[in-house]
Amino acid sequence: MIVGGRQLLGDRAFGIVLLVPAFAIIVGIILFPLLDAARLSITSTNLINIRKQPFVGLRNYQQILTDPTYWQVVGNTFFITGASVAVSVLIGMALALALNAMVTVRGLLRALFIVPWLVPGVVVGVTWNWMLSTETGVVNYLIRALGLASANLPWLADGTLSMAAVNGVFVWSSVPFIMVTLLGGLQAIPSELVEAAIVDGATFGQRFRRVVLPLLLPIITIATILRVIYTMQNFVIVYMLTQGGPGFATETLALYVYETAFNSARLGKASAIGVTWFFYTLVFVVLYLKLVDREERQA
Amino acid sequence: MSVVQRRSKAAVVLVALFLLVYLVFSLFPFYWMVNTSLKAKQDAYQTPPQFVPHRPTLVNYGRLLNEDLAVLRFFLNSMIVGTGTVALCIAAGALAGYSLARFPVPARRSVMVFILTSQMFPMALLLIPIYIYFVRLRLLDTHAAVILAHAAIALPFSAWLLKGYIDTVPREIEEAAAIDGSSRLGILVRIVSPMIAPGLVTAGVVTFLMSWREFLYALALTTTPRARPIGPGIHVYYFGILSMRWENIMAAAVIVTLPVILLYMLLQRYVVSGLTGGAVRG
Repeated sequence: MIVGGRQLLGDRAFGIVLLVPAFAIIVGIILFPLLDAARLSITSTNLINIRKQPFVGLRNYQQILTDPTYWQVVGNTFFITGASVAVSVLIGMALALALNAMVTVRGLLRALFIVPWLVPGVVVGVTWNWMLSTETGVVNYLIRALGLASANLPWLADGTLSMAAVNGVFVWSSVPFIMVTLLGGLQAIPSELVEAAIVDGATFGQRFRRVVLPLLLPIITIATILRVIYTMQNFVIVYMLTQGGPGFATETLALYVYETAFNSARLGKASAIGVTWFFYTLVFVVLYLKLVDREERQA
Repeated sequence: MSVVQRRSKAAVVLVALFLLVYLVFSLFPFYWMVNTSLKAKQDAYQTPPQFVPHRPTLVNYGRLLNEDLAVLRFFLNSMIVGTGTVALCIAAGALAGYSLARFPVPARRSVMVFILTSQMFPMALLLIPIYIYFVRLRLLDTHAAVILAHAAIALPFSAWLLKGYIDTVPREIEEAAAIDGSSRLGILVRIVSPMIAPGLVTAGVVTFLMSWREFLYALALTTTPRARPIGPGIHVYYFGILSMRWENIMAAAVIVTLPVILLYMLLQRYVVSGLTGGAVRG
């Protein structure tokens, strides 16, 4: 294609050479470790002696799949992901609609709403941890001041409350992404369509259901799936907030894999847990690719 | 239209109220972080809490400069790791993007899907073999280890983004340069790069932010303050020396957040277009 004189490599070969650095990194630090983790999952490799990797067949899998703790952790992961993403999509949608109506301050508000998205997860976790402290936390103070509870709530020490707290913090940090993405989608809707509906006397609810929602649905779906993939992966927020506790009440797969590997030193078992987790994620990754592909074909 | 306008007056007030309430919820943690960081120990734990510090002080920030806490070291490590990751991702990403945009690479579509999905797999799982490799290569607890790990996370985004920008450069310009005798690599460096400068800035700033915020790899691949970035550095205070000293921890949290906010204020357009562009289309 690009016409050149005397070149050592043809365009095809040159194109492949250009891909080498990126591929070396992606294959070396993502694809190869992924395959290697599958191999480690059928060994009893230990952190103390990583060179000895004795083959144990499916023993790790047998062990985790019959362990109630594993299933509790899987349940927690899906619950946190499902609940926090669902609530984030509802709030994000409402905020996007509201911002779309506010022409004059839209840019400024959007800029401010994005901030929780940018902040390092370690800061999110540690700040909410402080705010949710039982005795001296500002959240409990505000709850009592508003008369919503008479005593301090042990947010991070009680199983149910800590699950609520983790979900709340995930919502807080997920909403900006959903809001910005959906706002972009709303602004791409031709205004003539909405105006025509107004002229026809459609109420806000009718316009939303009949005109806006159908046009926005593909972008809502894609944003939701991306958020699901991200939330299932997240490590730092739960780690800084509850460390998976109390007990295993808020333990997620990301923490469970990390702790099994680096605290219990069982790299083989941790890999097996991680491989099952990989397959849970894969469902959503495939779904995402299917949707993006369909969108591109329609576009 | 007057009916619509009259009714919408009340609606506007409601909508504005909703936005205001959410805005307060959204930004209050930052206020509380700064607020706590400016209080001395005896003021930080009062009930009712001081919503405006009665006696604001910088003593907590002063304490962070204490050498035992190594906060400057952590900060510098994050800068080194962030800069290294950006350099690697821009270089490898631009080459890959140029290849995918301009050359007849076999199975281009599959290559792009592979690059896109590679960032979606469980990091905590990948970490286990990566940790083993870095131990064997004696790279554990070095900047290089964290840079390589971060590059793998950010590179797919850079490659996709830069491919998109290179697609928009008119081929005629490159063809003219080729006729004048420029090599293909020379065309990328001298002709294409200046034309995709906004793309390079976007890729750079998003990659830097990614590296600055990343926690898991940075935590597991470093064991001492020698190479440990500031995110896991905070974690050390939190569970260690400063355990439960929230006024100190919040000062450290402000220090971690500040560069992010500064970059965002200076380069908002690039940050937003990078984050949203990378989010939906891949």
